[in-house]
Formats: sequence, C-alpha cells, structure tokens
Amino acid sequence: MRNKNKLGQEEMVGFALILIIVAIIMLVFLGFSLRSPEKETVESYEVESFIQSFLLYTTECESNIEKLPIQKLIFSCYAKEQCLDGKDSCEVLETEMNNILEKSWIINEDSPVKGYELSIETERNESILDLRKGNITANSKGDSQPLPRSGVLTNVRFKAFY
Amino acid sequence: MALKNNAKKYEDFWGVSNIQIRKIYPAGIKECNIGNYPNCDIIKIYDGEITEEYSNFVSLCRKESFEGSSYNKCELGRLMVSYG
Repeated sequence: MRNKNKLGQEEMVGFALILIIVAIIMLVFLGFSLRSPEKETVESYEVESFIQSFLLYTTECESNIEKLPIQKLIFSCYAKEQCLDGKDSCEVLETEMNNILEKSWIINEDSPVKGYELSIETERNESILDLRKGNITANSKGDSQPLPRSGVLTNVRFKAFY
Repeated sequence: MALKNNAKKYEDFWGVSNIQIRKIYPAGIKECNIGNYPNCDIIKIYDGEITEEYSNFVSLCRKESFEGSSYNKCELGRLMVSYG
C-alpha cells in the first residue's frame, strides 16, 4: 500500500514537470511570434517615398515662370531646352540627380546599401538619364513612377541593392 | 516649425520619444529655431531617448518668392521617428 502511494506521488510530480516544460516551450514560441518583424535594410516604402520626394525637389534651373522641380526638368531635358542662365537642362538634371543620390544613399564598404540604379526613359525606350553606382546584389528594393506628358509616357525607375 | 513650438501639446498623441526632420539635400548640421528658419537643417520636434529608429524620405516644401510671385521651394529630407 505504501509503495503504491509513493508510486502515485512520483507519477503526479512527473506529470506536473511535463506540464511546466510544455508551458515554458509554449511561452518561448509565443514570445517569438509576438516579436515585431525585423526591420529590413531597405524598406519598400523608403524607395517609393524617395522617388516621390526627389521629383518635387526644386532645382536652380529657371524657366520664364518658375524654378523647375526635377519632374519638370525631366520634360525640359527631353525637349532639349536650356535653363534661363543658358545651362543645358540635361546637364543640370544629371548634376542634381547625382548629388541627390550621393546624399540619400551612402555607398561604401561598411554601409548596408551596396548599390543603386536610376533610369529615366520614355515608353519608346529613349533614355533621358541613366545613373548607377556600387554593386548589383541579389537583394533589392525598387519602384517606378510613370510621368505622362504630351502623349509621351516617361518612366522613372529606381532600385537600391543591399 | 509650428509643430515644434507646440510639441508639448501633442506629447501623448504620437507615442514616440524622438521626432526629427533632417534636410539631406542640400545637407547641413545647423539646428532650426524660430530665428534661423529656413536657413537651417535639422528640426528637432522631440529630443528624447532613442532605442529603435524608423525613417523615411520626405519633401520639405515652403513658399518662396521669385520675381514678384510665389512658388513652392522643395528640398529633400528625412523624417526620423524613434521609440524610447
């Protein structure tokens, strides 16, 4: 009788131990599943916002009525126009875009972003601007923005590699 | 800048410890105040502890005058939000 009781007590302790171990394992899994997803090196929303933001950037290229933002400078370059001060609109576009890219996406050995490419071309595959820097890697985030004007659709594409 | 001056009123609204807007092109390190705006580069709305940071590109636009008429002057910036 005494032995039976002892055996029963041991089984109870064993059962309780198993319950505690299962509970701990479940808590660990719950902890992992509730953790916020890890931030990626480059997020899609960053690339999307980058394109929208640089298209609005006001350049020093003046027309008769205003200082042209990048979006209008692209059309001005396509039409082979000059700024009021005589500078070629395509040269201003390339200089400004190079500067914007250099300041926005730092690329060196230690940086998480390894490279980028920007292309601006019409639907007829006429290239307006093509800029690249760094390495093309397996991981990338990109986006494009179509700009319709005078029956010609121009596409602005940007891709960041990491 | 209007928000910076009223940051206290929105303290419980955002739920973050740090909000900054940094001009990245043209870039600089001068902090903004009522006296030097818009000739400055960093608007610190909340300046608290930082543990985790999220940021995104934004357009920093304001009205300027050009030969008697006004136009939108836009620069490139980064909105940075951090949790304490």
